[in-house]
Amino acid sequence: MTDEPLLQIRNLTKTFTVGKGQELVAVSNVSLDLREGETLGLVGESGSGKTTLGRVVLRLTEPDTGTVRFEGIDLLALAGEPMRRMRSKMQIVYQDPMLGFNPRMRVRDIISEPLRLHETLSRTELQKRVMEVLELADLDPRVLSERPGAIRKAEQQQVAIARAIATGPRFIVLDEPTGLLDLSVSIHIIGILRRLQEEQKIAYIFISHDLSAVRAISHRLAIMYLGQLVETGPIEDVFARPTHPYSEALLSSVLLPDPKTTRQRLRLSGEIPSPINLPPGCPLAPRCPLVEERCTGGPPPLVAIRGNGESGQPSWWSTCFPLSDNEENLDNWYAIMQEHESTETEELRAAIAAARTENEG
Amino acid sequence: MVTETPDATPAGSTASGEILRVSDLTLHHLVEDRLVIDGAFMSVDSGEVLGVMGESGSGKSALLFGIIRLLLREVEQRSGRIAYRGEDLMAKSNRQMEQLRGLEMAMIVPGGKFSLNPVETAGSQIVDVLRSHFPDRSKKDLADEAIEILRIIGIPDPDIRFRAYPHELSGGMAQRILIAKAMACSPQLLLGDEFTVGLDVTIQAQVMDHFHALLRERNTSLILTTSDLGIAATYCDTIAVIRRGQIVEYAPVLDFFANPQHSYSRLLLSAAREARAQQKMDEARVDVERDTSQDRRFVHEDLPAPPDLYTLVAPGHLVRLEDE
Repeated sequence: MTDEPLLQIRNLTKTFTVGKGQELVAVSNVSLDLREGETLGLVGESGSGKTTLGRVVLRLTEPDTGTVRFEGIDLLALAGEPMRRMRSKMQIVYQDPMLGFNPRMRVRDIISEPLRLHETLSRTELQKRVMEVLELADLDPRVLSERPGAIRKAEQQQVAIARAIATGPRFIVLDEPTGLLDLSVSIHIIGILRRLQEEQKIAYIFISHDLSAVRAISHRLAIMYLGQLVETGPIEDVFARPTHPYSEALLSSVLLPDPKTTRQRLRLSGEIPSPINLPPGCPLAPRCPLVEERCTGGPPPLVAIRGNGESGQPSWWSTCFPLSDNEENLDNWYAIMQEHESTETEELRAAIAAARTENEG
Repeated sequence: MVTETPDATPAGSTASGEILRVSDLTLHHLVEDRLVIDGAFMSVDSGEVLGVMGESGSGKSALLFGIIRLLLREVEQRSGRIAYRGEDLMAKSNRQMEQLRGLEMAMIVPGGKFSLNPVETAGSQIVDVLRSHFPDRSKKDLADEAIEILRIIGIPDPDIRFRAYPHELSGGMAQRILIAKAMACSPQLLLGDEFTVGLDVTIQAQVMDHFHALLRERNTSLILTTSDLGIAATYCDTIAVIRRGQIVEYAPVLDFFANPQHSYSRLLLSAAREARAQQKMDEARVDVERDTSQDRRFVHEDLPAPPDLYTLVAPGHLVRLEDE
């Protein structure tokens, strides 16, 4: 098994109990593979479970059921010292780096702290390693003696990246690392992350709301909705021809930076429902324009869009009842989705006008 | 503190449909000792959506607070004239400005539920706005009106949401309540400060589509700050690009996207062009040429910009001279 993925996630579920016996399924039966040097973009609405999935994979939160294999080792079976040692190989970078820094420490100590925890280096070796990661994160050595609050937001994020790579991890969860940054700065950070990956073969799970950032850095895309993965596949394929109605709704909602063109959107009705005590069936059913009776009955089937991967998982799949009828004829399925799409606000305008007349009448 | 300029004629009162005219607005931050806004100008017609684009720290929010005259204590107005429907706002007392805010012009703040009072229901926060302007109307009457506003804003089950506390609302719903608060008294001019930031794209599209249609329907003007080129292109009629407190380019939206002149605007748009080139490869997307012939055009022929600093490159399209 030379081709075993770096990270193998199988049937991972995490439920939180809220209030009196109410259950919130934050991550529901998620299976994913991540290869060395690969980036998986993880997208979905707020509350869809992206962050929880990232934390569960790192065992920052304990899952209820499922397995996580990292470098072939069952992470969930580890305890104590072996788990602690494993942590030097997997890291996380948060949206707001300041939340993870001790504001009274200097940048030099922030970056060297994980090295002191995980390795026994002499003072000169430590110094040398800090300078190395500083350069990898494209940081100016002048920041070393600063406190994190005194440097710019982008530099704070670079410090967080430098700290994350200090122990030479194989895998990093990036939880909205560009979420608070301006466009030009976010492009810079993504450039650093990409270069790091090329040089160090680190695998990323990149969690973000920003679809263009996800597209710029990811090799594969996973789309989550209410704790479930609804579609996973190669990034350009899913962006170009998503098969799940939720994927289509999400990707077609991106506004075009072009005033002369508008785009047909698959519109979902209403809002993301409360994730507490979800009914059985497809989680999108109450909002989906293509909903059928069977969609509310039980869990939707997994439809393989493209072949089987080496580890038994198809490389592109989606979970949808109506799609499963069109498995052999995807063009027909795309045509069906398009029938439900619309462009602009004409209907909205009419609806508002009607509401007003009704009110006045 | 306001420095009066000698020719204090209400500027722009003659221009047809013009609702707001700002000239030479300069705001100085006393503590940081820098100009947060440096000689800003604008002209907004009834029903026009002006998009103010810039990165964080460029001064775009300060510009909105300057217009509605809600400045931090450490920010002083060095110069500038703000005329709302020909009336000089600088000449108004605090009391008069309070009357104007909410009734004539209102601000939509970002932050969803975190910008609402956590211990008051959504409905009563809207009633509060209404009551402050219509103190004589009955409680029942105001509540009915608040529910009606929620319905017009596009909130499902408005009578249930009326009684909901902010923590019971989703981010998108809470943002709609903030829009409802601003629109409660049907003001003619809305100032929106990046209020869809943090909403998911599907919800953002839902909220903005409905809100935009409503603006058109009521012929309400909006000044919207944003750093999102998609929002600028989709919902704005006119674009003002701001950098370090200075407006560097001001143009009708079609002209701006087709023919950006300032190096900073070009930089912003180059990222957009790349994204667009990529989007064109998405086969499942059906992109439709928008019929812009029916759009109302807002071309400001007489923008109050200093001629020694700005070049007119096309009708209503001004570019600030770049220092080499």
